Amino acid sequence: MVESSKKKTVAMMLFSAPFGSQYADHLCRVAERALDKGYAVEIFLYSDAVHAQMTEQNPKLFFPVGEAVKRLIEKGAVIKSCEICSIARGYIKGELKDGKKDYSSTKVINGVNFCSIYGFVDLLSRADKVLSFGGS
Amino acid sequence: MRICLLLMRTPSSDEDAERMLGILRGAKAQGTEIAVYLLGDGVLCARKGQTGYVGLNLGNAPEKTTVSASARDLRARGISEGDLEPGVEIIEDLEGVFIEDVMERAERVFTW
Amino acid sequence: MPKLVIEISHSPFGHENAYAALFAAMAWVSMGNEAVVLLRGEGVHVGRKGQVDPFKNIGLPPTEKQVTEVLEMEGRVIADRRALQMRGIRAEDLIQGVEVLDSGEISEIMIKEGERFLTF
Repeated sequence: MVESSKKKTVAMMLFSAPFGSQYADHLCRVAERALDKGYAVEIFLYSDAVHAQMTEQNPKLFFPVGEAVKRLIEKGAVIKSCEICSIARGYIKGELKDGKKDYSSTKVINGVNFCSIYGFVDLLSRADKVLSFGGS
Repeated sequence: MRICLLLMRTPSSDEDAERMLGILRGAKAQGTEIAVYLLGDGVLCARKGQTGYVGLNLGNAPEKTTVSASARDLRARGISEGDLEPGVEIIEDLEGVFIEDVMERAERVFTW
Repeated sequence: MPKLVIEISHSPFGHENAYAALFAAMAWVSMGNEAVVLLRGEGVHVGRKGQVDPFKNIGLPPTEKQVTEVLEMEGRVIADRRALQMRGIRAEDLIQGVEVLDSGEISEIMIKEGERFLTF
């Protein structure tokens, strides 16, 4: 366990959907080990990677990404999902309700938050290190 | 300077290899340390006997270059230690070793 | 000032990668940060000028406009020389402001400026 008076933060971007490739698996494993070692973890789900936030995932033969995401949240990871990517793919409506964006959804794992691209920029600027999974 | 490279796939062309591994040449000129971590399909880069753009081509790499491969991913792909280039370290908890290196020692990290 | 290096290896439109990468780059530089966008492999097509209303033609946003905006906000956009040559793309085909560098020079930039690195 790394001891530090200030928790170092690793920001991770996921750009690939779960199951079609192993990138989501790799991100989940690296993130979990980072949390185990005492680092703060912030994850941004971008493009098709927003599918990692879906509830009711039930892979019979694949690495259980949905379960891994829930475990990461339980262990303290901050998971932010691209708002417009999620709207495009039908997860949220993102409409204004009482002056606030409505992100309610039965399709999204509890604990996943949404942000704009500026939320991603904020995450990147604060992180000590940045890792990129998928996309290449 | 210490640089970590995390490879999760193999190069698909010599152009792609240059993208992923060209940094080894740049680092060599600057006397940099490089730690290459192979995860997922990236472990295939370490198989010996590969030619052309396939493989790690560590002839371009700085002297202080280490290569580590995920034991789990090697086993899944039926690759044994004897199938690997000499000097590749096989690590059970590659993810844990990688992230600690990144957070505590590396100044740069590039992932593919 | 925080620095970000973004590498694009996909051509525009066929995949979302180029658009998503430039969207992130635009947001980053709009906050007063420094960004370098590297165009490699098929990504060098992102540097070509002359897109004709992609939204009207194929329902997709114009990456040429995004590149121009990154440049206007003082981000750097750099295309790999060999990748351009392999694809027959000449300097005059490029959006004004897109730089052309060799692979070795690009690696130096990655090492020097790559405090944060994203690949698309």
